[in-house]
Amino acid sequence: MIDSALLLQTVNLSIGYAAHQSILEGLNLSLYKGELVCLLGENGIGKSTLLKTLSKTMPLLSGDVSIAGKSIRAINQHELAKKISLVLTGSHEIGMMDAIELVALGRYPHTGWGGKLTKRDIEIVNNAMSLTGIQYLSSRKVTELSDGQLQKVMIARAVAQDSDLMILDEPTAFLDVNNRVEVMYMLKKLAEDTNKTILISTHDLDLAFQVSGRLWLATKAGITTGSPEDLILNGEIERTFATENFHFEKATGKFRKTILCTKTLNLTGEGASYFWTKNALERKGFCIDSENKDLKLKVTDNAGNHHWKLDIKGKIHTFSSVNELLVFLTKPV
Amino acid sequence: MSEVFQIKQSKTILWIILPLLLLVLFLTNISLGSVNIPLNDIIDILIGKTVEKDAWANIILQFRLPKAMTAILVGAGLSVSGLLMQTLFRNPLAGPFVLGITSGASLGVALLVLATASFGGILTFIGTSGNWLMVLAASFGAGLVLMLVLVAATRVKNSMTLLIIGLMFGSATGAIVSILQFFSSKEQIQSYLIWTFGSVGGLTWREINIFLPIILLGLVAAFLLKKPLNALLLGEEYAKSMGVKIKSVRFMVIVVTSILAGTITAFCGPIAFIGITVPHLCRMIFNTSNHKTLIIASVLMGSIIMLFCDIIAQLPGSQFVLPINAVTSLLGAPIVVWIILRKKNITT
Repeated sequence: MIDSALLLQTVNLSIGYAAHQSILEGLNLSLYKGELVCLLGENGIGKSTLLKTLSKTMPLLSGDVSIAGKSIRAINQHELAKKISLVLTGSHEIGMMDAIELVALGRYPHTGWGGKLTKRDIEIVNNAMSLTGIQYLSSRKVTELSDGQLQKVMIARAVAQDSDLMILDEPTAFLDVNNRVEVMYMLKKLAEDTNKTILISTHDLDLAFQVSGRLWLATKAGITTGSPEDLILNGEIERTFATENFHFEKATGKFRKTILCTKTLNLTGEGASYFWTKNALERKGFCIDSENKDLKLKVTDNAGNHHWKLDIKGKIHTFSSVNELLVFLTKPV
Repeated sequence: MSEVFQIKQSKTILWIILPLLLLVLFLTNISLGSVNIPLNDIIDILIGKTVEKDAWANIILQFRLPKAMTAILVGAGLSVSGLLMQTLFRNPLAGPFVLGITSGASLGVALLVLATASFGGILTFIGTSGNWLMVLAASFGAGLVLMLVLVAATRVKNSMTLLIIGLMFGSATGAIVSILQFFSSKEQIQSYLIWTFGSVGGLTWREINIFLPIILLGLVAAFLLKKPLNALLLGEEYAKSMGVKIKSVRFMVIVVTSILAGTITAFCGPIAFIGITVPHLCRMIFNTSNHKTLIIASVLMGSIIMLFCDIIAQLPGSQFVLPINAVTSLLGAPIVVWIILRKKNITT
């Protein structure tokens, strides 16, 4: 990244609620124009506090935050609103207004005392709605929207605010799976289309790995940054999130319960059928061991017809579903 | 589409009906009374023509017109202050009285009544100026509670907490009033009770000359706050992120509300339910939370309802006049219940 693309920088930033109990200290972070960064970390590690501090909703304990080369200490609330917009977890009552009215509220820092919209304001509002794909909601009352739709409207409002940086604090926390994916990919597209910088705190590791160019990984020791893939491969993700009972599978990017191997089994096969058979076996306490000569299982996939062939010391059993296989394997001997 | 924050076309009819209704109720209000005056004579008097009976002009100009004007100012002022409170506290049941302003005014009046009794019923001697003393006492009490709430407002960040503090001030002052009543004579309690009945009929032109500009000032100030009020609909955090200077807006809203509700309570006594009910009615019929619409609508609707309540209070055709506070409560309480039942929930 070249220096001219630097948007936000923190220098020795300490965050927290009171001087003697800072949560995170000595943070030196940067955000570049047009990048999407996901902030990951356990609950209570200080993700929200960091986002609130960066957006000046909370005072800085020490150190400094600068946006576009200017310290946020020297920028008043009104000017800051032109540089940073905010989207929260949401899902509270917001009164009766049309979706377009809510999006238009984003023009707040740009309009006069009466909030009257100019032609250009209206253009920006409409553009924000088309970028977020919510034109069809335009004249709907926000009280009638689903959580996912409402969150998109809130994001469109932040887009209409036309700030360089958009900060989102767990924007997908209350959404169902489809909406989570949709909202996160929408944000990725936004960053690409508008060259705005987007910082998202989230617990959706999976989605964060898919959409973000860089991650901010918050641990008690501080914040590590890097591309998702590097942080997975160098074990940072695992160190941040893994516990005694759960481990992080680098190969799949998923967390799994660390299983106690009570039995082993030699599994061969390919693709999805192999993956899901392994999933089922592990759930039942079988570890995959290619050295096992006594218990061998082969899964074959003939254009969607799956067959499982189990070889117990030379004796062959065949099954046509995972369920049949599991019933047989877990049957008391 | 280009008129996002403009009042919707479909609502145009309401903007014709409401002012017409206001005019009709205004004329009805001043044509009712123990002396029957024909409507065309009333209109002649209002536009400055001389009519055959001087007494009629006197009744209309010195009694009925000030009363109708007071009703309009009370309705408009209380409704707008209720609207502002509901938005500031994000609480649909907030009203100008929740901050304890009325209780403060009541305390002032209760103290006055008790004090005058100790000095041997001064009120009866000072005659008409007793009315002014009442206003001063109520204003002082309202102002005192307002000061306390403002001090609290500079210390607490959260509007919900402020609301609870307001309730506590209200309860505390209410309790002091109860104790005062316990130690008061029958006559004292009676004169205090008469004040709590509320009245829009007690103001002379001299008083309206003070009352009118204060209320107009409050209403204009409220209208100037419409932009931050709209942003506040999303909550304080969002509002702040969009550049709303929360502290100064909150201060302004509290000052405007207190001026409106405090002045009205001082001049007319406590008048319940207008502040809570009217903003909800306006939200319902205009189907919006936009303050540009709601402030104007609340002024119109509040005036209409207050004139209507005053007509009911006069019990047309009878010699009796009901306490206005009782009428607004009897009408207002069922409306609030009806709104809650109809909408299952109510919102700001």
